[in-house]
Amino acid sequence: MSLLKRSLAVRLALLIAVGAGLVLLAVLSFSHISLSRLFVRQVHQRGDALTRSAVNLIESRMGRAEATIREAAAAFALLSEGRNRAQELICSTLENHTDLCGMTIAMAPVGASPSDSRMYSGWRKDADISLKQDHLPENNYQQDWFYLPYYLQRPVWTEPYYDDKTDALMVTYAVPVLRHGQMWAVVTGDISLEWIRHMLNDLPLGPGGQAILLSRRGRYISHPVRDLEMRETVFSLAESLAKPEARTSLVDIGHRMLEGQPGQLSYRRPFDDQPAFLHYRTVPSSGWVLGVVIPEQQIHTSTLRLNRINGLVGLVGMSLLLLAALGLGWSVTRPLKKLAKAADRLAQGDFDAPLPAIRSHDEVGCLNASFRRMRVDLQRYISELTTTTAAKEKIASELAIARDIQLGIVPKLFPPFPNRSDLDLHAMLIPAREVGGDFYDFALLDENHLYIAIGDVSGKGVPASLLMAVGKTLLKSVMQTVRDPARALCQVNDELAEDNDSCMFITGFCGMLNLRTGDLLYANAGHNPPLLLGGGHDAQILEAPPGPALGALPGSCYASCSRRLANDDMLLLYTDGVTEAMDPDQKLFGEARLLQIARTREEVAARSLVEAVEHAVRLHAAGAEQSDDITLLAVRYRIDPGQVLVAGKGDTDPPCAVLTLLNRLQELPRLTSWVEKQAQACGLSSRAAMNLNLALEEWVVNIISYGYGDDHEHAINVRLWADSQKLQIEVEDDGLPFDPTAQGAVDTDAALEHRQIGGLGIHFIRKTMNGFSYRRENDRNIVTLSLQMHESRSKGDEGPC
Amino acid sequence: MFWGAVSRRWVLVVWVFLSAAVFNPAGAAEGKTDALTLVLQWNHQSQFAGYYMALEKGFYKDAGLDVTILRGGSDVRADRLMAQRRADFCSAMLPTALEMRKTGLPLVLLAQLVNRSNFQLVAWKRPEGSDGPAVLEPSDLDGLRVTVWEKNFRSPYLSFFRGWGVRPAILPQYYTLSLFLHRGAAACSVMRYNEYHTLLQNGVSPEELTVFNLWEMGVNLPEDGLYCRADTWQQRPDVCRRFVRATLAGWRYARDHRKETLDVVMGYIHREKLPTNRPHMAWMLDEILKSIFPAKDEAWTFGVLSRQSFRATTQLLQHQGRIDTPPAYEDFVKMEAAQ
Repeated sequence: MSLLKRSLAVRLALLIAVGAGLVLLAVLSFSHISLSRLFVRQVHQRGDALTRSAVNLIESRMGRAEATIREAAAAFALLSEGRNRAQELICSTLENHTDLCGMTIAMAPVGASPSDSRMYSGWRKDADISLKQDHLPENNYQQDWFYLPYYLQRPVWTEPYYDDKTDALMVTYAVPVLRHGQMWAVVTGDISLEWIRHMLNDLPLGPGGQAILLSRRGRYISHPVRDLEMRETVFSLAESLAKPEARTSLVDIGHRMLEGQPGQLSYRRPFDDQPAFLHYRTVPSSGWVLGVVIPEQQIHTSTLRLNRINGLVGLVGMSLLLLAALGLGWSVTRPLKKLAKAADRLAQGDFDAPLPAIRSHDEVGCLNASFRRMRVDLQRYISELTTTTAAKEKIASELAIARDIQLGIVPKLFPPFPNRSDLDLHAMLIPAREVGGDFYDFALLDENHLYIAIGDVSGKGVPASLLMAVGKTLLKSVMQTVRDPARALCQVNDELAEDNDSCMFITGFCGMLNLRTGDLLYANAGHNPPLLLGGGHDAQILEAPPGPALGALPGSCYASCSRRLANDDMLLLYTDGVTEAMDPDQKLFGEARLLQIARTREEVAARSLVEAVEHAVRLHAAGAEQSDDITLLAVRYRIDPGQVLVAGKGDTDPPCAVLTLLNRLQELPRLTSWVEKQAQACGLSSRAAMNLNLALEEWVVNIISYGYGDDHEHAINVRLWADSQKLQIEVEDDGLPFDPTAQGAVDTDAALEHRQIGGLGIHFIRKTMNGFSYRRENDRNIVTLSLQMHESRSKGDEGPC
Repeated sequence: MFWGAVSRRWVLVVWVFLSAAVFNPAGAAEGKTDALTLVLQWNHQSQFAGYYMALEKGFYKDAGLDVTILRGGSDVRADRLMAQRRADFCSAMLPTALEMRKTGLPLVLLAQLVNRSNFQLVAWKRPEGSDGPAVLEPSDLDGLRVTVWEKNFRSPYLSFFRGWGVRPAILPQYYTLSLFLHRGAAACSVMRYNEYHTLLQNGVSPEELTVFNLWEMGVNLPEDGLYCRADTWQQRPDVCRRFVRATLAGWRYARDHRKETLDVVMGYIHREKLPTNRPHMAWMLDEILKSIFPAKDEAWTFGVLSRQSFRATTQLLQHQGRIDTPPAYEDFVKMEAAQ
């Protein structure tokens, strides 16, 4: 079975064999039927011919005997002295007619005297003829050979009988001789029937065939079963049959045979019950019936023999066909097998596996040729692929390196400031490709100032990563210098926008956190605003005036915003890779979701928040391909418990108002109007407000005029705190370090030309302000002016004006 | 043709005679077994089945008898064998036996076996072809050729014709029915157990025939009986008795074991190469037994000849001139042999 499934050749051969077998079967069946019919016809013809010829033969002999005896009788009737010449007549007749075995002339008894009777006999004994004369033939007159012709007065064939003398079956023809109308004598001739037996035995009847000869009374004269001869008749035989129907049938057959007409019939032989054909014909002279029995089995045997030969020939043919089919199948499958083997080896990379030789141009040949071509193409393809793959691998390796480098650009060591309990910061960057365009950055600019930034370069991949590297590095270095997010962004924008042929840009957020005060100074260049969490308030978006993306437009300006963070406040910076992360149905993660997550995790550590968001995004994506870099940065601000506040409440509270000025004198009216506005809001007296304004102006002009060693733009931040008791203003600049409080008192009496620069201004500030302090933080000068509300009213009122 | 057969049979007879002389009753008187010979009235056939079975089953031997059975036939003259004391017992028909007494052979009847006659006259229903006149009654045979056996077989038929007032043209009938079968005669005589069945076996169907059963039409002569010479009976009554009893036992056995009997009969047939067959012998056995053993409604006794039958037979023979003075029943019939 497995061979059948495995071998095409065997299947093909089997299919052919089955087909041919069916055809052979059909042919054999057809030939069986037609042969049977033919043989039946032949049997009938043969049976008819045989009975006819046998009957003719018997008839000719018996006819000859009849004629001889008749002639002898006629001759005897004419003999004047018949009795004396009877023996001569017998002798000469027997000599001339060798068919006759014996002959008798019996004188009919005349009158009552039997002594007058005579009987002359002659019989053939070896080559001689014996003669005999009987004077008292009384017994013989009672025999049929005399009795029948005597009373029937016509020639008659007796029933056959066994002759003891010759131990042979004999039959006698008896002719009555009349003289003057009186029965005078009977002349008989005997012939042996042995020759009939021989003749019937020699009939070519085939196996099982039988010839039988019946007397006119149905007695078996000749039968293959010798015991039946002369003992049985058809009717006695019928009587001995067990089955009544067989008995009736045989009786019926006997009657039909004895009717005198030739015929044929199909019947079952009485003893073996085998079907057979019977042909019969009557011998005219004696009324005997010759029957020829040919068993149907003979036909079957012949048919079977022929069919067997046919079948044998067919089988041999089929075997040859099978062999041929197998050969054909193998010739087809051998190259296929070789091809399969070669294909296996090919699959394992062995291109030298031998292929079968192309010997023909048939389908297998074509397949072989195609296979060869395929191998060549494959070899070429693989070699090309190898080259390409090598190149790709190189690129991939380079990309991997680039990724490492890129990831190396951003600080990756967490916690970054393990020694600082007031800072909890964590960040994460997951590029969508090998290299990404996102970045985050943070650094302590000095002990009290933390720089944080996040950015997203337009586009992705290598170009984005390059720009990201540039942007990130640039922003950090600028921040380190200018320490003002808005100005830093302005500078970076100008730097990037210059020769920006690739029209790429960066959205970014940049902030600087005063770790001492919690003041966050920040600016946004088209980036998603960060979230502010904790500190007892709900999570909120840290709004900032939007600015254009970096590198998009040269000369763009950004505004700094300030926000004082409370203890435990947390900032979460992120890129649009978070909010625009898509699930398989292209649904965005969304800001709302981010907010929701942030709100539930306000109290957790920065790392947990980052990871929670990342996890949520990953869950949302549900296996969908990451389309954009995901970048997160969280920082929690905590007030260092050991830190001494410089300005009391103002250090912790966020300022009531913030103003950022550029280091240009043109900015002064803005300052003036802002101070006026704030003073009015705080309910400051106009004198105190004017003093404050003058003091601030004095100091800001001082910064603008002398504070910087360059002509670049710098931001000067002015922050205001006010309550019912006190008003406090901080001025912060990134100019050269200068502590005004360290200047000596102004000699107001000295000549003007001998006085120090700014000396009067500082003096004025000291005079009008309740508090005047300076500190240097993160390379920045911070000067704090404060006014007691009630004093300010009095002190401010007493101002120099 | 027949010379050879006849001469050979004579040789056999001579041999039997010689053997009979060697084992003669002289020795039997003092020896344990008595050798004796039975001659039948015809060829071996079922007609004599009882004798065969008595021999075959050892009834004779058990009776201290060493019995030789000689066949009869056209070539055997039983009367001569009996007269010449070459045979001790013979089977014969009652008329034949009575006629033998006339010729000086004083036979006595030891057992009457066939009490019911088997004589039949069969006629072609249409002797002259299908268009000719039909033979349905005995009177229809008037003027027609009828073959009848010769001699003592003739008596019942003559009695029948006379009884029915028929005057057919009687032709002699010998050993075959060939003249009748050749339609050379309109009717012929047959024995119920033998020739009638032969006709059927020659393809004649019963429908073609009109059959007259003589025993039903006024002529019922007893047939086969067992006889011995009167002096044998006087000198060796004991042997006779033993022989008769064993014979009757043989017949009873034959009646009760027909298949076995038939086998034995066929053995005789085959040994003698007789031209007959088993179905014919079966028919004969059945028919002869019917005429030996009375049916319930039949009056005779097995083995016994009644005085009435004896008288009827003697009267008929006397009337036909076949015997002169019939013997006295007591002189002729020795039924005590069976006792």
